[in-house]
Formats: sequence, structure tokens, C-alpha cells
Amino acid sequence: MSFIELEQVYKRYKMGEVTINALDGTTFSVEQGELCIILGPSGAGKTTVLNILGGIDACNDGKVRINGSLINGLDKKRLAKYRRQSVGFVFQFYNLVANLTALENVELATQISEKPLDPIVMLRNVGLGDRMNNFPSQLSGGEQQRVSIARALAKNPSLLLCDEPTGALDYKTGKQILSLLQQTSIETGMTVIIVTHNTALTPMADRVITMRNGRVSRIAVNDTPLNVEDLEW
Amino acid sequence: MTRSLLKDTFRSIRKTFSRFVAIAAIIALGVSLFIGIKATGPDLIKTAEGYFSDDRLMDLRVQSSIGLDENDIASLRAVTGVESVMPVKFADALVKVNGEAENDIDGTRISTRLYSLDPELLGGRLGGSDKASFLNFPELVSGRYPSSAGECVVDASALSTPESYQPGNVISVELEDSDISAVLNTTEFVIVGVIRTPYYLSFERGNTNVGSGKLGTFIYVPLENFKADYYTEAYIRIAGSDSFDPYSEEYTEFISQYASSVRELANERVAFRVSELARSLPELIRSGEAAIESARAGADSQLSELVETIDTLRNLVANGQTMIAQAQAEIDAKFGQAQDQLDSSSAAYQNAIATYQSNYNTWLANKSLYESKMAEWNTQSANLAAKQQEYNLKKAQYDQAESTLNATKDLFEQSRSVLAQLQQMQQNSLRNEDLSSVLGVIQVLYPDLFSSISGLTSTGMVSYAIATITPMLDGYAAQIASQEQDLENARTALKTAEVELSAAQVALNAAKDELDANKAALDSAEATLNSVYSQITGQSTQLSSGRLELALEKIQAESQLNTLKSEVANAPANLEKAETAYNEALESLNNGISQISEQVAAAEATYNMLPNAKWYVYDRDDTPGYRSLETTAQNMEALADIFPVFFFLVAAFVCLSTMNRMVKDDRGAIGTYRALGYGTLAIASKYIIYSAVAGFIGSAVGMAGGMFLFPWAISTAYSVMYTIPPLRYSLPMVPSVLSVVVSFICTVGAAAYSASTELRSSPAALMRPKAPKPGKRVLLERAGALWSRMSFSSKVTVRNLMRNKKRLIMTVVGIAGCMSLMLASIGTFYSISSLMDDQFGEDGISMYDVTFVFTSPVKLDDPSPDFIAMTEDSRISSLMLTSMKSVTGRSDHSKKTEDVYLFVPENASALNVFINLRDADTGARVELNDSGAVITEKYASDMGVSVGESVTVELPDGNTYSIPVAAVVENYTFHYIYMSQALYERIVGAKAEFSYAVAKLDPVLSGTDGVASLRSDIASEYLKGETVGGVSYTADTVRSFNEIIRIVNIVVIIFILAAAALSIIILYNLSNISLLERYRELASLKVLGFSDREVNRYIFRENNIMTFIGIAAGAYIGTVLHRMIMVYAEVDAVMFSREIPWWSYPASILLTIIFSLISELIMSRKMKEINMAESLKSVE
Repeated sequence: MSFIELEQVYKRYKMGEVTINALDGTTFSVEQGELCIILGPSGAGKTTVLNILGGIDACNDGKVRINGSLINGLDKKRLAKYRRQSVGFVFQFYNLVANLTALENVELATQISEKPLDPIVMLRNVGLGDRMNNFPSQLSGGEQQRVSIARALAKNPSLLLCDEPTGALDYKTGKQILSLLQQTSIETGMTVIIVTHNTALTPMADRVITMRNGRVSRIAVNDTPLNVEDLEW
Repeated sequence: MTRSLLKDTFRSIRKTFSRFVAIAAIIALGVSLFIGIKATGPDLIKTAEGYFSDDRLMDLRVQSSIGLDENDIASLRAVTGVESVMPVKFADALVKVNGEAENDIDGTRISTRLYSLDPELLGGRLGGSDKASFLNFPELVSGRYPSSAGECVVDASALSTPESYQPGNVISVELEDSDISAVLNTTEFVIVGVIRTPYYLSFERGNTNVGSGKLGTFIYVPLENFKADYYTEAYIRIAGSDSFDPYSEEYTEFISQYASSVRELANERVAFRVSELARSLPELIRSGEAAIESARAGADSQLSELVETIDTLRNLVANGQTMIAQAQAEIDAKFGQAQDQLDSSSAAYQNAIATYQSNYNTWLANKSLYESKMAEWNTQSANLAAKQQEYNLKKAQYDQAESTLNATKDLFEQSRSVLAQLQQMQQNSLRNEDLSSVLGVIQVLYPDLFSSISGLTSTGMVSYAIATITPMLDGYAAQIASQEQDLENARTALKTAEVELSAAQVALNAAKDELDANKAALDSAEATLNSVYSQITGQSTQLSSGRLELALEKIQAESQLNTLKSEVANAPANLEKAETAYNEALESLNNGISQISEQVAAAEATYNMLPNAKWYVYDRDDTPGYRSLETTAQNMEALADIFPVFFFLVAAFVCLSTMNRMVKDDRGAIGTYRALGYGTLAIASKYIIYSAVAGFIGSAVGMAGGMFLFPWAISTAYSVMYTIPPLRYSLPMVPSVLSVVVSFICTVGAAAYSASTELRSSPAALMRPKAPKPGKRVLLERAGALWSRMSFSSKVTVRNLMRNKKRLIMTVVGIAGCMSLMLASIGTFYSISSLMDDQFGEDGISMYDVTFVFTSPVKLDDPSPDFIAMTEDSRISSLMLTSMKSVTGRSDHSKKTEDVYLFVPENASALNVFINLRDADTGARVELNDSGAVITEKYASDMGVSVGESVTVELPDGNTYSIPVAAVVENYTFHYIYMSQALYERIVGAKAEFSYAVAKLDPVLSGTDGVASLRSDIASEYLKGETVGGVSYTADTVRSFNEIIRIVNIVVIIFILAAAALSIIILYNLSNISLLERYRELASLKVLGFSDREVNRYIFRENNIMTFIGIAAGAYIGTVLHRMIMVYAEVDAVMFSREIPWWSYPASILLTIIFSLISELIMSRKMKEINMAESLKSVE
């Protein structure tokens, strides 16, 4: 049994008379500890998949299993618990609380989780040991994204979900962030899913799932993923 | 402006509809409250003004102690400037409705004033021929005007008119101790209609000299009901008075000159009428006395007859039982004797019956004997009949034999003669003629022969005949012999029968005799029997009739007894009836006498009053309720000055910040428009239109609501107190324009301003996500020790609060506004409500229960008997003479003047019994001494004087005096300057004259339920005398004041409601804005796995802190606001308590918290619905 299993998942939006299937019978699975990249053009449904996996959106049909348990159909309270215990989110636009320092932003997450990691250690791990007391506005985009990753990881989740984590970053910074994610995956055995439309990133993944029009068009398992440092795009 | 921009504008209204509605609602609430409260006072005054002019409220009223005659009226008409004069008659009386006495709420009998309704004037007014002459016109509210003497119309006031004053009911009027028919022709009136008149604006009715002294109601009855030939008072209208505002100074001044002219006229007219009355009254008195004498004489005979009846009945009552016993005994004796006689007759009757019985038996024996004899006679008689029959048979046999013999003998003879003839013929010659005769005989005797011979010749014939006849002759002879023997035998038989018959006859006769003898005996017995029977019958009849007679007599005797008995039984009742009749007759006599003697007494009183005869000239100020309407209006206007303004400011601030934020939140769109090349003005117009539409809708709704809703609500409340036509609604120009302008500044202005500042940035900068406001260390963090001890979440909260100061201020101001509005309005409600309690309550200032007003100053060296009685009255526990003058106080600092009472107690040291003099600042007791006056708090502050300075007053004589101030005391209603006698004398240079007395009633008496009746007793008692001219009870004053207060409080309740409504809208709006701003932040928290409750806590902790800061600030601002309102809202004569009661703090805090909880509830529901996926996708 895989760590993540999606089985005939449908997500429909009603736009007046027309029903759009954002996910149209999406089926795939990801093994534990894998770094998986979901690839596809805009509107392919990759963010929707991520949101459903993260428990911030619900599918209309199908089955979503994480570590053997079904998460679709959970009530709001259970979903919040699931997010709090099992999921770390990294967004394109960081979504840090502007009014909290880097450390406090991480603490915001650790405050509510059951087996948190030390926020200071986490920040040191992402290379921000000396910027812990800075506010987001005092940090660069890459630094903010690193805080965001630290915040996600500090909860000690079993699943890290990243939505275009480098979308707003320059090449170099983006590389650093991806490297951080890869490293985390390798070192902690955490399952990491990265949504991107950048095909150049695929070699770094253990598994690449390509989506088109709400369906999985291709699943490629890469037995020898490359180190991010070796990638060029 | 392009179509797409316009579309965008209206779409944004739809998208942010709740914000749009909130802005419009806040504006509407602010505008309507401001305009509404501002409009109500003027509306009220305007309505009253229209009413005065339409229904011709008089300008002056002249009342004369000796009445006004036609000449007086004519003289009044002749006064320059007088437009019309309307004389009226009135009489005061106590009321019964449908025979039931009507009581006022305080338990006293309700009095009514009956006004004359002149049909001519009424016709003129209604017909339109003379609309001006009827003054104080009673306008019909429902029903119709009276058309006959026994009809009336009643007043429409809901407060003072008893419920039983319904059309169809009958009002009867009476006086307590005299007969009203001395004054009125009719005393019962059917209610046919309901009216209102501008003379009685409010529920106040003024005073009267009947009943409790307080006039209860008034009715109009046709003029013809009044007996008086003079008028009681006259109403005057001055030409051109309508051109002044009735409540203005100008009006007062304008009228006062005419009042003086009328007063001048008074002296002349009074003297004239006095001289006339001095002549006519003594005559009236004399004729009245004569009438009394004749009435007495007339009633005497009727009375004496009644006395006789009463005596008889009294006797019956006393001796009735004895008389009954006597009559009973008589009956018993009489009927006992009769019964005895009857019994002896009955015995005789029984004897007679026995005799009859024995006689009857004898008769029966005789009768049977007679019957046996009769049988015997019958036997004999039958025997005789048989013998007779036998004899008759024998006789017949004998007669038969005899006749047979005779016939045979005859035949023989004849045959022999024929034979002889034949033989002769045969012998002789035959001659035919002989033959034929013989043949004739033969034909008869022997027809056979005749036939046998008829053919034969005559000779043959003869021969043949002889042959034949000769044998026959022998036969005949033999026959005769035998027949003779037979006859002989018959004769013998007959003889025997004859003997036998005779014997039977004899035997029968003997039996007959015997029978006859028996018959006689029987008959005599029967006769005896009959005579005895008739004797019995006679006795029986006699006995029956005797019995009947006795019974009849007994019945008669008993019925007579019963009659007597019932007479005796009814005697007491009849006696009572007779006595009542007697008393009634006596009463009616006395009534008649008293009616006349009342007229005489009235005439005498008038006569005695002649030396003091006077005209009283009053202006509208003396009209009950005239000034209180103005006070009500002023109170409401004064209230409108602070509260709605503050209210409006809070509302405006909220709109302003809302608009501001809206523009700021929209910077992305602004940037896009700019990048597309839209002009600054075009872009700004989006927000201007948005805000203008909201402002316009809000203002329009607010103006409509303000113009109609508030005045309507308030006027509904005061319609209880004021009986006036429906409110004339108007839009107050200045407040309307002002409020609309301010609303537009707050909405449109804020939008335009914010838009213009945003538009200054470059499009690129606008389109970039605005750098989130950098997080900052707050001051508190410097205090390391404290900071490090705070929990993570409190740190976050503190920092969040400090980071967005604008939001903090906006929220705090909003909540503080709500809190302060609520606190101030609740406090105002309390302060106004407690006014009367502050002044007259348990621990108040004025402690006296009643004020007596004397008709003339009390002479201390020679007091009137009434006054002495008053001082000795056990019901009055303490009494003090005072001098009380209303004087004009002049400020030394400004031109301000105020009416103030100059109060001089007879005994300065006793003043504290009646009035609590407490220092305004320290609350310490203040004693009145000769060094200076004690003045009341409000007056001191109005005049700007303090202890040690002096106040200036102008007395009615026109002189001005300066009085040193020794102390300032607490006081809430009216202004007073208290001075000792000595001080007064020193300053004014004259002795104080005591025309008033304040008194406290016995606390035991006044503390019980009897207080009302006690009050009315005291009032009516002293008002009857000539010393006391008026009695006014503190309780009544409090009641009428409380009515005014009640109305003002309606306004305050509206404030409370408006404040609550504003609070809800503001808090909702704030949370709405806050939610929009923090959408992303909240979504982030949720993604991190914060549960709904944790998110709520995160947000609401900040909210709660802001709410508490707001409440704290609001408590302070509210206290200040309350004080401002109190100071501002006070009319000259009153001072409201500046204190806010402690409970209004928790009350308003609780309300504020409830409102903020409600808004948090709404917000938390919205937070639950935040779509994480959507909101985190990208930067907006």
C-alpha cells in the first residue's frame, strides 16, 4: 500500500450552467519518503490535487488515502487536526504573518502541533540562524520562503506540500529552496510533493506525475534522481 | 467615466453589499436622529401656534369677583386694539356619571367646570358667517355639539377626562354643601360629543373652589342653563396678535400694553358695578327672606297629616301584639258557646231519628197485614167473577130457550092463520087479490113451498098449500110443547146460579171491609212516619245551617284577626315609610329654603365683597398648560443639541474610516485603471459614486425617518398630556442641510480624499502588492522582563494591536462611541426621571406637603379665625408663614434675566423643617441668617455668582436691589433666594408680607391610604373660608412635572434605542472590515491547522481588548457627555442631577459586550467559511 493513494478523484466546479471538471478521475499513488513532482500546464488541476491532499479543499468523488486512512469526507474539525498533525504547506507567496518575526512565525505552527521540532533548530537548518528575530518585511523573498519551509517542517509533518515554491523567486534562490526540500526529503524521509509547471525540475524527483485537463497523463518513476545542484534551467 | 467603470462601481456595491448597507444605515440613523429630535420641538410649537390661531385662543382673560354685565363687556369692546370680546358664564361642580360619583386618581371627587356655549356664536363659527368671535373655540373631535339644554360636550384629554365620559352617558352635577340648582336650570347632561380647546392645552385644569381645589374636567353646556344674569369672565383677543409667535418675547410685550389698558378700565367699571349692586342686592336679600317664610307656611299641613299617621303606626307597633291576643280570646269564647248549642241540637236530632225508626217498623208490620188481606180479597173477587160467569151462562141458556119457544109459537100462529085463510078461500071463492097476499106471506114463511107452488093454479095452490101446511101445523104444536119443557129446565138452573152468585158477592164484600180497615191502619202509620220524617229533615237543615253559619262567622272573625296581625307586622315598615315621607317633605322644604337662602347668602357675600370687588386680568401665561407645552418643546430641543450631534459624529467617523479603508483595499484596481489610462477623476468617481449613493440613500431615509418617525413617536407619547390637533410635520432647514452636508463629507469626502491620496502613487506601485505593513517591536518589548513573561499569543495580540493603529483607533472609537452613547442616554433617563425625587423625594429638598395661598397677607397681630384654625389643626403637623415673590433676577455679568422666587420665611430657623438647605458643594447643612441670602445652585451658576458676591433682583415695583450671597444650596426645580425677615427689611426697606404658608401634614395621617381624602378635606375646608385663596399640593406638582418628564424620557428612550442600533451597526461594520483585511492571515492560520475555535480566539482576543479599551474610553466619554447633556438640556427652571447612577455603567457595559458578542458571532460564522484554497493562491 502506497503512502498516498488517489483513486478516481473528481473535482467539479459549477459555473452557471456549465460544469467544469478540475479533476476528472485523477488516479495515482506516491510512496512514503518520495519526492514527487506534479507537473502540468496552468489549469491542469495540479494545485487542486495539492489542496485536496492538504485537506484545504474537498473532492466531489473518489478516494484519497493518506497513510492508509481516507481523508475525503472528514468533517471540518478532523480536517483541521489532519492539517495540524500531518501536513506542512509551502506556498508560492510564503503567507507569513507579517506581524510576527521569523521565529514567531515558526512558533505559530509549533504552538499547535503535538510533536513539534525546535523552531530555532529549524531556522538554523534553513540557514536563518542569525535572522530569527527579523520580521518578514525585513527578509528577502528566498529568506521568507525558507521561513515558510521552516514553519511547515517545524510541525514535523509526514507530508510536505509545496505549491510552486520557487514561482516568485529568482533562479538562484529557487535552487536553494529546492535543494532544501530535496535535502529534507532525503534526510528525514518525509514525503514531499512539489507542484510546478517547470519541466526542468523533473530530474530531481523520485516520481513525476504529469497532469493534463484534470487527468494524470503520465507517471514516471525516477530511480536515480539528480541532485538539485546539478540541475540547470 | 466609461460604462465598464460604472459597471464596476455598481458591481462593487453588490459585492460589498453589507458594507454599503452599513454605511447607508449609519448615515440614516445619524441623520434621522439628529433631524428627528431637532424637528420635534419646533413641530410641537408650530402645531400649537396653528391651533391658537385657528381656534382663536384668547390673548387676555378678565375675571371679575362680582361678575361682568353687558356694560362691562361693551366697555371692554371699546378698548383700543381689542378685536373681539367673548363673555362666558361658568360654574364649578362635582360630577356624577350615570349616578355614580367619579373619583380622581388620588381618591378625591372629580370636579368639573361647566362653560356656557352660546348657540349664536357657535352658529356663526360653524356657519362661517362669523369665524372670529368665538374665542377659545371648542373644536369637535367626535360626536356633535349640544342642541338642547340637557346636553353637553366633554373634553378630549386622555389624562384628565375620566373613562366614563363616554357619549351617551349622563353627567350630573352637584355641590357638596349647597344646591347647584341655585346656579343652573338643568343639572343633568347627556354627553353628545367630545371637544378640545386651545385654552386647555394639556391635562392641567387649574384650580377651583369646589372639591379638592383642583379642577378635574370641563364641559360645555348651552348658555340657557345658567341662571346668572351676569358673566363670569370674558375672553379678549387683540387685533394683530396672530402676527407674533405666541411664545415670543415680542408677543408678551405686545399683549402687556393691552393688559394695562384693560386694568385701567377695571377701576372705573368695578366702581360702577359696585354701586349698582349695592342698590340691587339688599332688595334681592329681602325678597328671598320673604320667599322662605311663605314656603314654610305652605308645607305645614302636609307635615301635620304625616305626623298623625306616624302616631297611629307607632301605637300599632307598641300595642299590636296585645291587640292580637285580645281578638283571639274573643273569637275563642264566642265560638265555644255556639258549638255547645249546636251539639245539643244534634242530640235532639238523633232522638227524632230513633222515633222515626220505630214508627217505620210499625208501618212495615201494618203493611204486611194489609197485603195478606188484599190477597184474600183478591181470592174472593175471583170467586165472584166465576159465579157471575156461570150465572151469565145460565141466563143465556134460558134466554135462548125462551126465544126459540117464542119463534116456534109465532110460526105456528102464522101457519095457522095462513091455513085458515087458505081454507077460507078454498071454501069460499077464490079471489086473486087474497091469494096474492097469502102468497106473499107463504113466500116469506115457506120459500120452498112457494117455489113448488108457483106453477100451479090458484086452486092448486091453495089445495097444495093446505095440504102441506096442515101437517106442519101439528109439527109445530109438538115442537112447542118440548120447547116449553126446555125453558122450564133453564129457569131452574138460572135460579141456582143466581143464589150462588149472591153468596159470593157477600163473601167479597166482607173481605173488602176487612181490607179497608187494614188500609186505614196502614195509612195512619204512614202519616205518623211522614210527620216524624219531616221533623227530622227540619232538624237536619237547622243543624247544617247552624254549622255553616258558625263556620262563616269564624272565618270572618279570623280574617279580621289576620288583618290586624298583618297590620301589626307591617307597622314598623310603614312607620319608616311615613317617617321617610315626613323627612323628605321636611327636606324638600329645607332644600327650597336653603336654595333661596343660598341665593340670599350669595347675594350677601357678594354684597360684603363689594368693597373688595376686583377685576383679574390674565394673559395666556395663566392658561393651564400654555407654558408647559413650551417647556416640553424646549426640553426636547435642548436634548437634541448634544446627544444627536455626538451620535452623528460617531456615525460620521465610522463612515469616514470605512470609506477610507475601502479605497485603500482597492489599490490594485486603482492601479489597473491607471495603467489602462483612466484619468484620476474617472477613477476617483468610482468611489465617489459608491459613497454618494450610500450617503444619498442614507440621508434620504434618515430625513424621512427624522421628519416623520421621531416626531410621530414623540407626539404619540405627548398626546397623552397635550390635547392638540395632529402634529404639523416640518423639515428643519438648518439641521437638515447640516446633517446632509456632514454625511456627504464623511462618505463622499472621505472617498474622494482617500482616492486622491492613493492616486498619487504610480500605477506600478499601486499594482504591486502593497508592502505589508512591517511588523514592529512594540514599546512593551523593551520592558524585557514583562515581555518575556507574556505568553506567545498575548505577545502576538499586543503586537497585532499596536501594528495596525488605525484599526485600533477606529474600533476603539466606535466602541467608545456606542458605550458612551448608551451610558449617556441611560444616565440621562435616570437623571431626568429622578428630578422630582431629588427635589421632593424622601431625601429631597422640598419637604412640605402643601402650600396655602392667602387672599391677603396674614396680619400677625390680628390673624383671621381661619388662620388660627389652621395653626391649631391636628392634621397639619407644622405650618410656617412665608413671603414668596416672583422677581426678576439680573445677572451682573450678562444681560441674562431669570425669574426667581424671593422666599422669606416667618421664622428663619424653622426653614430647615420645610426645606433642606444643603451646601451645593459640601452637602453640609446651611442655616439661614441675617448676614446674607441663601441662593440655589442653578441660579448661582446661571447668574455667575458665588458666596461672598451679591445678586441683583428687580421687584415688581420696579426697584432693583442687590442682595449679598451667604451660601449656595442644592436645588433642582425653580430658583430661590431665601432671605431672613431682618435681611429683607434691611435691603428692601419694608416689612415682608406673608401671603403664603407651607405646611407638612401629619405623617401618620398622610402616610395612610386616607392621604388623598385628607388632602381634599383640608383643601375644601379652607377654601370655603375667605382667608385661603388657593391650596397647592406638592404631590400634584410632582405629578404634573412627572408627566412632562415622561414625555422627555420618550426622547431619551429613543436615544437609547438609537444608540443600541448604532452600536450593532458599527460593531458589525468593524468586524466586517477587519475580516476583509485579515482574510489571508486567517486563511494561513487555518492552513497551519488552527481549528475554528483557535482562529476565533486569535482574532477575538484582539477584538476583546479593543472592546475593553473602547468601553473604558466610552465610560469616561459617556460621563462627560452625560454631564454636557444635562447642563445643556436643562431649561431655566430646573437642574438635573449631574450624577450617573452606578448601575448604568454595568448596564451599558453589558449591552456593549452583548452587541460585540453578536458581531463576533456573525464574524466567526464568516470566518468558518473562509476558502483557504482560494485565498492563498496568489496575492490579490
